Amino acid sequence: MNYFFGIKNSFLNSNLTIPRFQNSNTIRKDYILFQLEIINQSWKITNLNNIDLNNDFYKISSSLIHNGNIFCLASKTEILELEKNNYSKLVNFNNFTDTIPDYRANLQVAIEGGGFSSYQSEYPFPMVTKKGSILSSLSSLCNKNADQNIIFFKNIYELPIQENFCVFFVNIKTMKVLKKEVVSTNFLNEIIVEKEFIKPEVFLFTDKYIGIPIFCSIQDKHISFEHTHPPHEYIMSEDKFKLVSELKKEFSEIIN
Amino acid sequence: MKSLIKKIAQSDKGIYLRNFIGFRRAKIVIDKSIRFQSISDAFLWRTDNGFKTTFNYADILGLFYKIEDSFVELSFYSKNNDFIKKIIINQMNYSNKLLIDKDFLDGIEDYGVFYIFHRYDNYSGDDLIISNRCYVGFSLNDCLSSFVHGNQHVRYQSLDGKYDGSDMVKSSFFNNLYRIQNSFEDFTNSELFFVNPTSKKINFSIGINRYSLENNCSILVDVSGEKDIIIISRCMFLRPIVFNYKDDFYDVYHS
Repeated sequence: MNYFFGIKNSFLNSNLTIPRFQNSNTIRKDYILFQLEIINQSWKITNLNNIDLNNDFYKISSSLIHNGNIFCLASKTEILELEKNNYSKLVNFNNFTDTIPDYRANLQVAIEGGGFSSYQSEYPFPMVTKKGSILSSLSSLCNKNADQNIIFFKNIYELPIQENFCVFFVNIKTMKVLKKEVVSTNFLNEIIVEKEFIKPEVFLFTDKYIGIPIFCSIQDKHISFEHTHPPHEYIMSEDKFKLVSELKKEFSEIIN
Repeated sequence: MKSLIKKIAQSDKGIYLRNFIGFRRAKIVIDKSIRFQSISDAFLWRTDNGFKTTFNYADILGLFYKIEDSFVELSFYSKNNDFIKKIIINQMNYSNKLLIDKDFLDGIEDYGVFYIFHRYDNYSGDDLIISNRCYVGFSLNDCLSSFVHGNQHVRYQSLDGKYDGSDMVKSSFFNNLYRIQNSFEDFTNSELFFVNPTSKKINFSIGINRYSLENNCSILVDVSGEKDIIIISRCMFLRPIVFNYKDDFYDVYHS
């Protein structure tokens, strides 16, 4: 299953449009939208039955989005699975959103009186249960000519904890850490990318936890907003995880 | 016995049969008879109506395999699949940019696709299959480029350039329905970019409108005014790139 999330930022509005249908057009009418957030070290569920259902889409406006909440589709019976574990761990409620091509919501950011940009987003359940590290090239999506470059880094972890971990900007050629920022699990973190770091040899690397890096560039009220691929998507032979692991080990040695 | 069944199921005829009867359908298939290969999407380029395209690509062989003297080949085609030009880039960083505008394409103001293949003639080792998913940015009237990542595997080529192929995306006997999981009601105009990923003519429909695409040809379809997009085709993986416009702004994403 997939979880979905939005972005809360001081100058960007975000809207999340979650379809209630699979891309093959199958609809489960008993599936409704739930919000989950961490309150007092446990997952709190809210039934969002008052959300507008517009032509088979749940439209979640910025007023309902904050950087700690997440959303999912489930039946009223399925959501009770969380009660069974005392709201202590996220659950793979169903396989309705396990589709090929992937089941996705549209996550759009917009500037008041300006432009908008979006991507088809999801946070797959298998990522929720994993710790690890993420590696992503800064210059693959940052734009040196933009006024601002921001990386929104979303982590969703199964336990209701907000634990700090680090995001590093690492120069693979000089083997130096250029920037270190403390971020949190179960949060949409915001990392400013200074222009001097937008170089082919500079990579974003995390310790301890994985997540989705979403790159946002802004110039004259125009926006570009897109996520990067994890490195194993570049390799399709059987040794892909070994190769990625070896590369990540190089980065681990630099940050340590 | 089990491995024999698996072998048959993964053969060309087995895949055709699976897709024909709808059992464990294989939408995308990699030709593993080529041990060292580079796979490419059919990336959209646009130079029409004030568009410029920026292509960001990675040196995969340098980053993951520590091969320093590899190079990339980029081949450009018109929307009718006519070959335009090929370029070779020898000097690469881990991340690279290429601007595709009308000057780069010798004055052409239109759209089409291009492919990127990594090349290295002296590789020997374990099987190597790589795919540069890359990022393509579209800038209208010199505004900030809106970036989108690679969308689907279309062609492959051996690392030494001697062998190549296509038809990674399969078709089925029955129609497939693909409903885009976003609403289009808030936009002034919308366009969908399709490329035929197969070597055979395909037909598809959006609502009451029908379209045909010859092998590897591409088309921009104006869907302005539509709220909801449903694509029906026998091609099993026909996902368009979406261009949405509102006032002076635009957004590009893969569906």
